[in-house]
Amino acid sequence: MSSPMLSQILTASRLTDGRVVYFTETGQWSEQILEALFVAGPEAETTLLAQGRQGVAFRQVVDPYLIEVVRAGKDDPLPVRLRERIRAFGPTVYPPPRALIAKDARHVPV
Amino acid sequence: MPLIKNDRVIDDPWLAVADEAEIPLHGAVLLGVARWQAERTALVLRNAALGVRLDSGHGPEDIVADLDRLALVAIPFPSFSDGRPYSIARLLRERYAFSGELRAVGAVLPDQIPLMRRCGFDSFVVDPAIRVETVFECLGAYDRHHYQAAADGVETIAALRRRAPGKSQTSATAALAAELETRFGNLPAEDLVAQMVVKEFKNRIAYVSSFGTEAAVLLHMVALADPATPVLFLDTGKLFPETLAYRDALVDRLGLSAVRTVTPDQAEIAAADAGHDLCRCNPDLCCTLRKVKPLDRALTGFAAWLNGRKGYHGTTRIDLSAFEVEEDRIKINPLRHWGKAEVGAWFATHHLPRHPLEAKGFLSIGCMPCTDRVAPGEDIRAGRWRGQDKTECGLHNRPTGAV
Amino acid sequence: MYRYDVHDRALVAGRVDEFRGQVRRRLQGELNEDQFRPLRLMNGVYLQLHSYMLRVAIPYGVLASHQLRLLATIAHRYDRGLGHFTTRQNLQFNWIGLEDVPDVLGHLARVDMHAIQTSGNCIRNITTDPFAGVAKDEVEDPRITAELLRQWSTFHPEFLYLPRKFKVAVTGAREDRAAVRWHDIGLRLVRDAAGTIGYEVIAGGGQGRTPVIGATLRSFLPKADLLPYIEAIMRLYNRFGRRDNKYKARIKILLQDVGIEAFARMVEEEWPRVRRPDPHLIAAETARLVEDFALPYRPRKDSPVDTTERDLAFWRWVAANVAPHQSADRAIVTLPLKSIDQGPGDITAEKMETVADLADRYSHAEMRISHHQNIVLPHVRWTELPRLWETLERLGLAEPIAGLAPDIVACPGMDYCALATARSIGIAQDISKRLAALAPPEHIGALRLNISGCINACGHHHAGHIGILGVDKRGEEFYQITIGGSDDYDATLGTLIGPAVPAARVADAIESLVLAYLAHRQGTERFLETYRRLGITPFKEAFHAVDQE
Repeated sequence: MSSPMLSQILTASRLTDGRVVYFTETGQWSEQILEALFVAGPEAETTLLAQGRQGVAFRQVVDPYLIEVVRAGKDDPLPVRLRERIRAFGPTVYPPPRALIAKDARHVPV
Repeated sequence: MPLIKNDRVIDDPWLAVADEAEIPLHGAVLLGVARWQAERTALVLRNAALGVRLDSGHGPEDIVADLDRLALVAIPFPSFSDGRPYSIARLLRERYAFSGELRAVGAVLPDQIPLMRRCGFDSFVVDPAIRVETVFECLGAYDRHHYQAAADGVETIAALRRRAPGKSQTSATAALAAELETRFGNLPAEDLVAQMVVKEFKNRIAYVSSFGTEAAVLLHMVALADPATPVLFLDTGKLFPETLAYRDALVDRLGLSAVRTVTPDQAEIAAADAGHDLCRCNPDLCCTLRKVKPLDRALTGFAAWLNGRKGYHGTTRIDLSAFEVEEDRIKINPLRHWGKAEVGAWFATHHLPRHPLEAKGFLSIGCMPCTDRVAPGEDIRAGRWRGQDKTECGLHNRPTGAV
Repeated sequence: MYRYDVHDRALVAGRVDEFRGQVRRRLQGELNEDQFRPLRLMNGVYLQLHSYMLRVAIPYGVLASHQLRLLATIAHRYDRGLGHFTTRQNLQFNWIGLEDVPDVLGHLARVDMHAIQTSGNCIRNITTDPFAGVAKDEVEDPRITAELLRQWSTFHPEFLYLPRKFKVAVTGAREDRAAVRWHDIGLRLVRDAAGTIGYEVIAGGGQGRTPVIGATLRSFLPKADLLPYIEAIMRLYNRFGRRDNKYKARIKILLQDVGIEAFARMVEEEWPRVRRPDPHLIAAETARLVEDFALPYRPRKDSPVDTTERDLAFWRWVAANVAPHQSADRAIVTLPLKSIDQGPGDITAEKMETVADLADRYSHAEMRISHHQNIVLPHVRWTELPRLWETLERLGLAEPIAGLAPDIVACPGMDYCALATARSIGIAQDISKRLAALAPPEHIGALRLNISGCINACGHHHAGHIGILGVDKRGEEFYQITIGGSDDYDATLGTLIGPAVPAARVADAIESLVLAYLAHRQGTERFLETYRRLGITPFKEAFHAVDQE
């Protein structure tokens, strides 16, 4: 297993329903952080942010920004900041609201 | 930049002159307030219409002395969320009686134009990126319902309410019944009675009672809510003497102070029942003359009435809702879910006297000729009009058959 | 409670249509986020951590059972089966889709509810005493004033884009259950020497990053002058409040800059010139409201005598959660929404339905939401208390803690809120568990714990007897603890007890403060009284002992 390394992914809120989304390798916006496109380095970050602005222009998303993630295990991204982990995996309150289990719990890293 | 005035897009007759630009000799010009103040003397002599732009940080105080010289005041909105111009506009219109054009410029969202209009603006410059249709759609949303008075002089909701007193609640009786069902349909009987008597239909509600075997329950609830509630007692002239005695005892015991005895129209009875056998040869007509019509007369002026029907009183009364509409009046059935057990428990808990005939096997009591004893196991109303198809007198399921 | 008529309904319906159009324009790209934001905020729509959040107004905390049932339906159908009662008597849904908001608002309108002015820089929901109209210590029902102000402030065209949000609270009781000194304007119904009822007007209170306790602007304002007087304050604030820095934009900063006496003079100069509403209309409207808010039964002077022997648990519940009522045969019952496995104020859709049924059965279909995030049944008969208690026990809504330490007030914190810098719900749970293990709540006595997940202070930590503020320290959650705050008439601001502690140590720290109180208290002294008698030193010592461990 490689040691964790820091990289950036692009996140935003989807315009229609406000759900947390991530910019993917295929140029889509996905609710799955697992599908997020990783980049590293200032140039790549600038390019990724431009994708975010395009997402805003195309009325796909609101407020795009980059977040720092650790890539652990099989490259599963884990946001460095707690706030972003909560966005990615849902509230930490036990027990989580009913529907949350079905919807968000499947991304919870082991 | 489209200029909107009087619900139309118009060409701007005003020339906006930048602070350092030269002022043309002729034509209407719009100047910044600082320049107006600096060059006031010269500008007053210029023989053309004059407008001032009240730039951010300035207030009506800066121009009040000259308002009668100004044909236009433009107030810039520095951003969509900067609400100062709303106050400035109201002051100019309401306090300083400015009657010229009041123009909103700068960050003007079409959605905000209705508010601006209420504050006294009457022309608006909007961003060219905004579709004109959108602007008019927003202006169309400017309806007539406002709680507070502003510079537009629109009648407030309080004034509208005052102009149509009594109509303030849901206007249609059916809609009112539906609303009451939603709000209070699940209230326990005692609370429902209080809610109706003390609050919803205060001074506009009566309880209609036969002073039968179970009437004491609702009479008691009505007395608890307000003993001055009108109680309409239908005296058909053919009641058991025990019923009359029971009535007097209950009224006394419960302290009911507004019991009204409702009697049939004697002329009608004389004409239709000269042989005193109408109850046998046409019981429906008899009920109509002795109960239904007198009750209708007695209920005149009441918006609602309570009655004691219960779901367990035979198959005709199972699916009662709490509120019904009859003759444009609300009919309320607080005991619709009650059964024999609940009735018995209420009598016991509150030590209410029983109807003297109950012990003799009369479980549902009406007029003497049409009431029989009920055998054990029979429906409680089996003794009413025994041997006939008739099950209801017509007070609750009108109109009945042959009259 | 207040009943909408055709005009109120027309107004709300018009706003639903308007917002439907605005959402459509946003989704079609005609409005960008900057333009849309003030419009959506005006309708209670936030963009939060997980989704859009919709804050539904519960005017002065008065809620009918059919309305709560509808909220349950919305929670089921459009959200994830959960709602959150806020410290301003409102209800929030956490996972509402923007596309669904117009429909949700349409449903709300059917039961005379809306989300108007639950956000944005405008006059927000007017809050009041959750016991209003039934409290025994009341001069006058404050809901009449609150409803007059609600109407006056709803879509007031001049005051929808103020420098910052504006919160008004009204109370009519001797005990302040509405925290009037912590509001931009606090109104207290009082009698003058002649016995006439009027208002003490308090202004400039507020929490947030610059906590200020409101000062009395005018000690007696005749009732008839209320609207012009308030309008004058609003106009001065709208014109002269700071707009260059959002952290200095609340009216409290304007009052500090100008000085309270000078501001009072400005108001005195302004309000006689404000156009007065037609006094006949105000009188007619007031008469209507008096009728709307009247009790739905005759108040009684005699209370029934109950000689039945009852469980000790029942009496513990009565002592904590049951308050005296204007009618001697009734009581006011608090249902704490502080179960240990949920956040303060959180309620599932199922529980909403159950509580609605209880309100029908025991409380004339009426409830109140308190700013301590609990539900109140205002009309319960004394004779029905045992049966109600048994039902509440089964439902987990009979914890005897109202006003006691486990009755913790907390904002949603970083689990839900985009502004938060730390979580608050988990901290509330930790503290609840710790204190439960320490002593029964009534043994610790009256103690207010307030937790905010950020400096904006939605959890009202400044006003907590013990206040807890979550902060971010290099990516870690830390918590600053204050002591001695109060939201009574004698409001005080909490004092920082020491350096911030990490999340894992908060329960230790709170326990140390409670133990210090228990060690020092005299007689029946409450936590706040012991603190006020002794000052901060003994508490600081106890806190530091934990901090050094």
